[in-house]
Amino acid sequence: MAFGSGRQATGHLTSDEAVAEQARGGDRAAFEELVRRHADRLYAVLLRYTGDAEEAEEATQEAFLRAWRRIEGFEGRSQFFTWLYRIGINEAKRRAERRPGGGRVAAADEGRIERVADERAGPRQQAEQAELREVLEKAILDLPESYRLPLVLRDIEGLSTSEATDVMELKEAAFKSRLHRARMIVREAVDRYLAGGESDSKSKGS
Amino acid sequence: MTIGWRRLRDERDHRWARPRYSAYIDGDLTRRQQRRLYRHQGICPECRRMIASLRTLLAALPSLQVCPGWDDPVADRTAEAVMRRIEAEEGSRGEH
Repeated sequence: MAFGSGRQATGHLTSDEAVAEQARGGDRAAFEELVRRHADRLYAVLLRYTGDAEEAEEATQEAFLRAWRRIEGFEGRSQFFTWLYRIGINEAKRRAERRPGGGRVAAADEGRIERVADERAGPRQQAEQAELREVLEKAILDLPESYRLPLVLRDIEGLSTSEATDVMELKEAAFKSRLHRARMIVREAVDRYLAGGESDSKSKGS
Repeated sequence: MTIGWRRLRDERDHRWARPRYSAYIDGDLTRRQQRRLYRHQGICPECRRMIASLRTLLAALPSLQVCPGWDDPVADRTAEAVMRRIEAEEGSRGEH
């Protein structure tokens, strides 16, 4: 995975923590630098969490505002981005609770969840890949929240187990158990889809 | 070993293996556990299939990563909106 524990430093000479230290001293330009470094990834996590692009973007903005207001409290005990993700996820939870009905946004925003079909594949393969992707997206969004986040953080966003447990404030054993359950549920959904596809093609062939 | 004993051992290994597929794939088991699961999946088609499909799933999941880019500059929009609000908040605090 491209990010992992090197996520904070990718392409930057100054570490997040050093920039955050400047921001703690009231340096707005330093804080803006942190926003630009982490907005895309935080948005991606919150988009998976909420399933709604607009909601994810608003929660991302609120998270950064809260982070700025609390930057004095960031003492560098955890990495800046795990601290930020925690704020972002809590913000998304708060917003979901305030929403009429009190739950998460139900449907995946398919327009904004980018589709990356393999361009070398033929049109039929591309269509199959897109379909499989949809099955995966839906299976992930249907996961209970406590299972979805471990899978998103570890298996999609590529955080290490220790970074993801830090974000979720979970013990490693609990995190791994949830991650395993999440993977098994998604795997089953994909298996069901593939089995259906096979029986479809058999019935078409007969 | 008699067939009865072997079957019992295999069933016990199967129950033990099921919650450990992820740990096996992630390399989180001890060497001894890793060997035990490796041996078991060698004789258990169900565990072999589960592990293979989990591996396929794990290979596919990173491709779901959402990557906003030049056509959807989330970072730029966020930075502009956040810095505008910070400025407004601190401006109004300064007035009081």
